[in-house]
Amino acid sequence: MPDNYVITNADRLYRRYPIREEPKYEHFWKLENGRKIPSSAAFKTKNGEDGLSVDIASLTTPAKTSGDPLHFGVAEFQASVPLDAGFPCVPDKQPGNDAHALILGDTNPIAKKLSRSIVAIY
Amino acid sequence: MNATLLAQPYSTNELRIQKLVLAYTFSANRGVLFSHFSYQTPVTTSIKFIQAFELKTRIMGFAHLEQDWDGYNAEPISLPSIATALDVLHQLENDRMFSGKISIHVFPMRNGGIQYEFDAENLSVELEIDINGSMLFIVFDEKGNITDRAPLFDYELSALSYTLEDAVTNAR
Repeated sequence: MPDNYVITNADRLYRRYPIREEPKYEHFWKLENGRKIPSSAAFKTKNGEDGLSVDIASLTTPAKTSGDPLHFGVAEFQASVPLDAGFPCVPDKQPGNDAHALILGDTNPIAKKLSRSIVAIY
Repeated sequence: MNATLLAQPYSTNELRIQKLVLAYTFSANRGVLFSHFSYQTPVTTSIKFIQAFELKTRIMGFAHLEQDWDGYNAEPISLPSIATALDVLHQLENDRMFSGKISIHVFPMRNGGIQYEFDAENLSVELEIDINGSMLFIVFDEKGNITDRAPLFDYELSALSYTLEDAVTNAR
């Protein structure tokens, strides 16, 4: 990723979410009109986090974001959703993941909006 | 819950969960019979009881989630939140909410709590249960914006079903 990469409304973001049902019931999706929709719980920061981890879609692939397709699916949504809600999205390169970024702040208030804005599931 | 999991030795944490579930099972007189040794298997079944049974099994399963269960360093689910989630389930079942128009889902939360989601036409509500078992009732509009949020205290739990049905009525 270029050091001066700026996330804009045109970017798409990936968020990994657990999909495995057995044996630990950690899956994060529910069926809506026959589609598996991730719960808003997958988009909520916990105390002490600076923001919500995502990957910049143009810099990675769903397979790389998932890492383990048996355990994790990937939800895709437009960066415009958090940006328009006033949540800055900033690149946050991590070792082994140049595409990593953060939606800054406590995302609990927009978690439902994020889950509803998903445009693709992988 | 699969047989492999049931055959595993129980940790202290799991035994505590079993006690919670047994207490829940025997305190609830809902027409579903459970045995002491296979409390996961209902003797009589119907769709609504199956749904409640599945949710209960799922909630119990949350006790097995370990640190980082979501790949983003999520916390293990706390025992108080599991106990409260079972109380909520008991109340919903008593109020026959599983035979209505509201679909009910339950999810673990990354902070160690549990989240119920109630969905119906023109209705979207979440009930967040934090790690201490405290509840927060949140109402959303069709775009996912929060329109109302308020704590729900234990003594108000009996009003949960009425509140949900009232919200459905008002949303029409």
